[in-house]
Amino acid sequence: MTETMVAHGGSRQGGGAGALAVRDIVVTYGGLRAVDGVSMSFDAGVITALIGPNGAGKSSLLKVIAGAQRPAKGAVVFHGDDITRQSADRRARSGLIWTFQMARVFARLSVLDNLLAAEPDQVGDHLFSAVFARKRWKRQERETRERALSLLSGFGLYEKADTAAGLLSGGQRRIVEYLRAVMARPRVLLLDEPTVGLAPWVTEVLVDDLARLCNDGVAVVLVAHEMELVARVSRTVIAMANGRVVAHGDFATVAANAQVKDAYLGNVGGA
Amino acid sequence: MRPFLSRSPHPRKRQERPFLDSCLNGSTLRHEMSFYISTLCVYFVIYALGALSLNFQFGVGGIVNFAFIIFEAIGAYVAAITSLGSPHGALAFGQRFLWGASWPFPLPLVAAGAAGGLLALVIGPATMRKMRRDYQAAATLAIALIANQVISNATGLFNGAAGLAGVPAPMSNLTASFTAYHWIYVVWAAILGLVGYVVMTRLSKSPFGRTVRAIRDDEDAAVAIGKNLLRTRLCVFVIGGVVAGVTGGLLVEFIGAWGPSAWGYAESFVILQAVILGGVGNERGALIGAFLVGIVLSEGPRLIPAIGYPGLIDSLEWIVIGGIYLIVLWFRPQGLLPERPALSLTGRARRDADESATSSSAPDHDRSWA
Repeated sequence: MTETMVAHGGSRQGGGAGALAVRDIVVTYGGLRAVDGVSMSFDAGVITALIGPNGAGKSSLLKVIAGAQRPAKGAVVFHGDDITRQSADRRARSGLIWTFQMARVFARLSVLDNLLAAEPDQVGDHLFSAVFARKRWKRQERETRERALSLLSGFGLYEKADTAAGLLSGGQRRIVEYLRAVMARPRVLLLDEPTVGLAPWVTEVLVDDLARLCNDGVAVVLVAHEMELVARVSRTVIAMANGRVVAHGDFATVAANAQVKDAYLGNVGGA
Repeated sequence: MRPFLSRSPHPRKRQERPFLDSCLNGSTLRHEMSFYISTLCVYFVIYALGALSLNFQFGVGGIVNFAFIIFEAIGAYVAAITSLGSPHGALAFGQRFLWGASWPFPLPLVAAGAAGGLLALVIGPATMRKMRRDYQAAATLAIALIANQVISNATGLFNGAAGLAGVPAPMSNLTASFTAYHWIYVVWAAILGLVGYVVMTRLSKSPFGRTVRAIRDDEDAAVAIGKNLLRTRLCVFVIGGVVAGVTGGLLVEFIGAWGPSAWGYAESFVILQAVILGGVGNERGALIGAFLVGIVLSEGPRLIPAIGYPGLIDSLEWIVIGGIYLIVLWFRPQGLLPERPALSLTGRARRDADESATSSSAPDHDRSWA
């Protein structure tokens, strides 16, 4: 009973006004139900942390939201539109941006080009204007480049702008991927463990940057394992275990939840 | 293209050397050399456009296309039948083909490009929808083999294995001199080559080209920032098809004949080698590759004195091409001129950006990745 109530806590809290909502999502891999009837919603201007032990279904849920995984059941609603059947690239173009659990960059493009590629609605991204409207796209490109370089400077990566992204270290790739997502002008930003492998100062910069995005009205969804980080940055925490939502609320409430403790201890015991 | 050319009226220098050596004085040699050099120039443009086109598909777009030569082939056939007139007409000389017209210059070439593009539009979706690159390679190779067999044996389409000959030369009313005509054709080919180079380079260095490269490097990540995989890839494939079709048309209007032996599947590898040798994803590299593979490697053997049995050097040529292919892949897979990672930040732009960055924000020494 508690579980059902908690599971629907998201929509109760969001009240349908959320930027993004999922309803009764089920994901199955063969016989395994990786996500088992999950509903939640994410509000604009709020960092929501999604926590839970390995195999809880967090990444699968993110994939469903991003459109990289078709749910067996359920619906994804983005700003009031049912986008469950929409392709992943359409979702990204409407501002639903996702980063990967393992950072993925365009290896043979420069760091700067990795960022520039993500700018939405580029004049020069169309076949004919690329060749025949060079002045127009170059003007736009100058502004985009300014934005990209200032983002890179913020993370101390300005010097790397011309380097092929494939030559970066793991942490740098993660930041490049994050900045690429930011360049894409997200309305909802789904981050899958963005701080893994980052130096402490980089994490600090990232936390500041997330706060800035929130102020701009972006709904940030953060899958994370570092509880200290979750406690610091997220206003709302949703805990998942075995494909279900087990707790929902602020960090203190969720951390005190018996089921959450069980889930983590069970995981530790199992490992 | 090669095997067919050896049967063309173009004289084989190696075989004629004794004769040439004996009359080194006269205008015959000058005439011969002019003919030879102009022919090489046209071939270079054709190879260069082919390499640019395949470079855009393979080097920039990561699309494996072992059927490249069939796009050139269909361009050549279409240019031929749109110049030859009706199959029952005087120019056809009893050759059998589907349909014919006698369009004025340069419409056959336009038709050739359109045919290449249309073929790409038909084949593209079948080979690019979520297909891994090794399967893509196998699929396109199979298509190339099937196409050659079908065209060879369905004699009603393009005169079967015998191919089409007697394609009228465009612009031939401009001059009566054969040599002068050749040079006019060189100029025409050079114009097309230049246009092709400029368009391909602009595309490749534009935000569109960046998107294409991004998709090549990581499909899923490109989707995650909103790129439409199939549409972008299809665009690249069709552009490549159009350019390949034009090169086919340019070639057939020059040599006047075209048949299945001219576009064996191995010809795709020759162009692929030009791309790989020159530098995958680099337009200037494609030009250098086209020169080295299309001109130096193909024509070099003609300057070697005949050794062994007749035809030995021709056979060795293929072995050399294959050998160099392997050597490049092993020792310098990025090619002579590698792709440059920074497309957007070069020269002045970089300096300007540096100045604005240093003036706006002092370097933060705490933020060090070292």
